[in-house]
Amino acid sequence: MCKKDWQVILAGEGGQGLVFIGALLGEAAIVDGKNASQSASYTIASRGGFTKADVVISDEEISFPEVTEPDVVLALSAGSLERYCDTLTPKSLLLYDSTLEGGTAGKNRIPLPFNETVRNAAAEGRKVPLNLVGLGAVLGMAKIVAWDAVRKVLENRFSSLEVVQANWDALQSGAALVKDIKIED
Amino acid sequence: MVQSEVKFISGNEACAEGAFYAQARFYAGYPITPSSEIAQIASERLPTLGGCYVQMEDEIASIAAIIGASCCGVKSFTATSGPGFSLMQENLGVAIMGEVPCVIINVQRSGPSTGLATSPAQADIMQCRWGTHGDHAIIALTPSSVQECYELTIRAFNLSEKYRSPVVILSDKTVAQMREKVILFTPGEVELLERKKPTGSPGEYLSFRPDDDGIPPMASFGDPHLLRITSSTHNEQGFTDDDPSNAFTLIRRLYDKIEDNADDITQIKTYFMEDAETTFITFGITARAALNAVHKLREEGNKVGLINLLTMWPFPACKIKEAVANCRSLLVPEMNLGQLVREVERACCAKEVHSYTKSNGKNIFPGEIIQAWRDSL
Amino acid sequence: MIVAVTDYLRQDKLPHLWCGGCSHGVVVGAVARVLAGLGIPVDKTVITTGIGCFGKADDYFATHALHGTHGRALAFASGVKAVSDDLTVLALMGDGDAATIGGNHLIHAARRNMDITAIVSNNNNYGMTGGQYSATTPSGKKTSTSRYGNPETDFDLCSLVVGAGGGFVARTTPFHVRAMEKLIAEAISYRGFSFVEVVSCCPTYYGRYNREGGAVAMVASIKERAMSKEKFNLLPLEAKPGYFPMGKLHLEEKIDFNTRYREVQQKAQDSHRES
Repeated sequence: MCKKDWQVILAGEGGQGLVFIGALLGEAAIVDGKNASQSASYTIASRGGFTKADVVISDEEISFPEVTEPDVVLALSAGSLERYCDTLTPKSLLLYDSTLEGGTAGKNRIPLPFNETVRNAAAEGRKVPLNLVGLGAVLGMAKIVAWDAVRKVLENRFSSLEVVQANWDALQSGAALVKDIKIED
Repeated sequence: MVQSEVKFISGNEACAEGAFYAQARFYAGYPITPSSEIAQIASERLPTLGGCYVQMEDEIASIAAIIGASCCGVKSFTATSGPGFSLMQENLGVAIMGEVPCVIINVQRSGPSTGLATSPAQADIMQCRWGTHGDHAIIALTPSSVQECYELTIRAFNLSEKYRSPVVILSDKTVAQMREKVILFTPGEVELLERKKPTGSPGEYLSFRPDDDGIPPMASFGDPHLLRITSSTHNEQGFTDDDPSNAFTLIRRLYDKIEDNADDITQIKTYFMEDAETTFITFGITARAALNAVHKLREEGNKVGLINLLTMWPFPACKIKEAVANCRSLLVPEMNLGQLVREVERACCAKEVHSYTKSNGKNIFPGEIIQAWRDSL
Repeated sequence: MIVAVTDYLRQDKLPHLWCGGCSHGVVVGAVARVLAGLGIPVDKTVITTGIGCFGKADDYFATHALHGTHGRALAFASGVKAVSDDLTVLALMGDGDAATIGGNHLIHAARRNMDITAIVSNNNNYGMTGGQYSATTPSGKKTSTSRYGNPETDFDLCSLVVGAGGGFVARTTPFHVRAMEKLIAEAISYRGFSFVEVVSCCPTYYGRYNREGGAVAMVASIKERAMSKEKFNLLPLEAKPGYFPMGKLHLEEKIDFNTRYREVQQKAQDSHRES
């Protein structure tokens, strides 16, 4: 997918780090020379409860910071999948974790093994965060921001090169999940 | 030359940055969603700036502490949300009556009472205006973007110092927690105002004797000029005085020093007003939805415009009236059951005024404003 | 510069507004003499007060003053002290101010341990509003809102403050004026939160409602009931009610808030430089 303006929803539950990846995506857009806004909706639970980060990216000034017509939705929890799977327009792309119940796969509705990726990495002794795997898949499918910009944001945020690399690897493992998937615009 | 810094930060972070830029060096507060990020940043940054963060036992004590610190000449602030702002009403009155500069950031959330802690609202407009008892005036600024959070917080400190008055920032959950690009000022780029200090001899100084502009110079605790701050109705010396003419002179002056300077204090931002037949008047996050709606309606050839209020109190009645002089009708969308629309009706009584309200913890979306506009035709 | 007690008092505001026989004036006089004795400049002294009869105390001091809402004197004082280590900060409160509406601020001020001196003139009722019961009105006593006897239990303020972490806690009476001055002087000199309770009397309301026989009789009764901590501790348990210990009841060296906060500032600045 290739567009000028983007509206992205990163949804799941509290504790999954959705606001973190939303902020990462938004900041990467700023580094890329675009405008971005990232807003969040969450419940009082720090762990669990429906949570989403909205990211709007545009070359123009952004008037409304919440997503009105999502281009991409990432769903990392059953609740968020339920909320979006039937309400999206055919134009919207939905990426969701394949272990979640209630998803109906389709042309623009793609189950992906996010949790499996995390578990497999754990079995090899690597800690790969689910949120970054998800964002990596989103960025693999949709050319929202340049990878260089994402790398730069990670470098700005973390002083340790090791941490930067771990985050980068997690993103790449997400992107690898979608490298053979093609969506016709 | 120092370059302006571009950051991708939240409205709450931007308020904190604005406060630090304005040389605020004391924060006292009590954590509450969705304002707590301001406390967290203040606790982290103030000690690096030689300032101080104190976590108080409640919001009553928080605002009391910033009043105390401000009396020492230290620019001071606190942040809270609905339930905490309710507790602060008591000592907001002290800051008004004692003419103590300070800044209170109220990140509005859905109420009444504890309501929905993590959901936005814009329903504290009237609490902010009249929440503390008695006749008084207040200054309240309403940011609708992260950049405005930054700039209006700096402005809040300036107005607070200039008018010897508390200033409220009426933010909202969405504006406070969304991240956007913000350009931070370089040192010296924005003028910072300081309260007037006494110029005469210490023996002649009276804490509440106003200059011709209605604003008394303010000594600090520790100065040779003795400062007597009181929340009771007082004379120029700062002693309780129940003489009716003294009481009236004081109350009138406290009111007039703000309301008579509405032109200096208030700011509005206008969009597409040159030929607008209908104007949307709103503020905060709803101004963003309205701007989006205006763009969409303009694309269809509809002559609509927008006034985004950056100041809620004193109400920018004159500026609004002037801006809408050639409009046929006004539409006021707001996230409450109709607090702003009444003020608009008062200011623009000759106009056809429509109201769109929403009070369920969700933001007003652009599509709703477009529909409300169509319904009003 | 030689300082006189008159430098600390606003002569033009005297005589004070309190009733004949009220203890508050005795406390004001003692505080003024202590400030003069310690030579603390008037312009380096801040007095905070709230509401109530003793909340008017700031009117009589020629120092900086912050007179605010009921119960909040310590909260105002905390903001002052946090940013002004060089100032002497006194919070003058009655029992309604300090222990009832302001009870939460009192325990947290004691816990937070800022270098503030709290002086409570405790006359066991709300004088200014007409003698209603407060959190220090003894159980069973009559007031304008407990005509059949107070159904609640009173606070022992000194124990409360010790329990909350106060490092300097003392009790005195308007009869023992010299002892009062000595304790207030020590309290001001103590680095940290210091608390002095003055067991006062309100002949106009509390005394009248409980037929305690006027100011002289009330002060005499206070004198009879007061004893040293050591003597009080030796009393058998059943004899203790009706008496109270006075003098310095608790002294503990503690690092005050501002000293600790300077460490916070140092750590913050070090870590800021590193990053």
